[in-house]
Amino acid sequence: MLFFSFFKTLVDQEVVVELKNDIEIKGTLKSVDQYLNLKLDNISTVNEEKYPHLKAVKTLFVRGSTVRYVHLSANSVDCTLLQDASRREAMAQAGK
Amino acid sequence: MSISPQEENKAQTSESGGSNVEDLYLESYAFTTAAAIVGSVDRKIFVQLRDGRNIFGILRTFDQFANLVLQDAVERIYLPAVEGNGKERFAEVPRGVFMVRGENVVMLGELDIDKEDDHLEQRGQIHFGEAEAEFKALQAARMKEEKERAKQYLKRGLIHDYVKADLY
Repeated sequence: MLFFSFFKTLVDQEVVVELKNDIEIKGTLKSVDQYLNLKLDNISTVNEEKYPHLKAVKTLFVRGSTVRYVHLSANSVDCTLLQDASRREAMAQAGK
Repeated sequence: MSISPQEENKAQTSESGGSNVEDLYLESYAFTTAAAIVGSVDRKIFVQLRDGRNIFGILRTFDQFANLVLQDAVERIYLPAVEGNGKERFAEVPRGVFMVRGENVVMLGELDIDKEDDHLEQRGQIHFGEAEAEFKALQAARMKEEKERAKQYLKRGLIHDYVKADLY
């Protein structure tokens, strides 16, 4: 649930999603779900030629299991908040 | 985590401007798989599958696992230009009503119907049978390459995880 909550704080930010097949897609994060599937608006790809049909795409739904990285800008993240949340999550897990 | 037909209906009616209660409903369902896909229903979409295929069609229905039903589906294969010989190529075959199991989806996107065929103008269309054969050969070559890579990594004490089903 931690990363689900984390991604919820990133909604409306611009991110670059790198998939396991090396394709990178830049877009505005509009939605996330419990599986960390992502929904991006206003997309653009770095490598246009490999996926030419993406030029006509406005919104993209990306299945979480295919994501390798989500590139963020450093100022999107409040690290202290994230550390606190991780600590709480770790304590909750340890207590189980 | 499933959305019953009534709840989904509520979400859809509130999208067209419902009462306060319905808005609350929509808020709690905003971050779900279904909520991400419902906006694309009855629109033309493309789906990329884990085996590398691209399917284009009108999304008719879906569920929380991203299982999809597409109407007037067309499978399209894109190929690079034959060495030194000009145009990049593509091939199409109609697939009718197509049901996709959610686990095979890599990504899906709504197409702008005014722009969706633009990139095809610079490409040459070829027969689907030969495109499919060439595509499968490309994938076989890639599997070989990944197997070799996994071997090399293993020699150095590293693991290169390549799932044979993932050819996207």
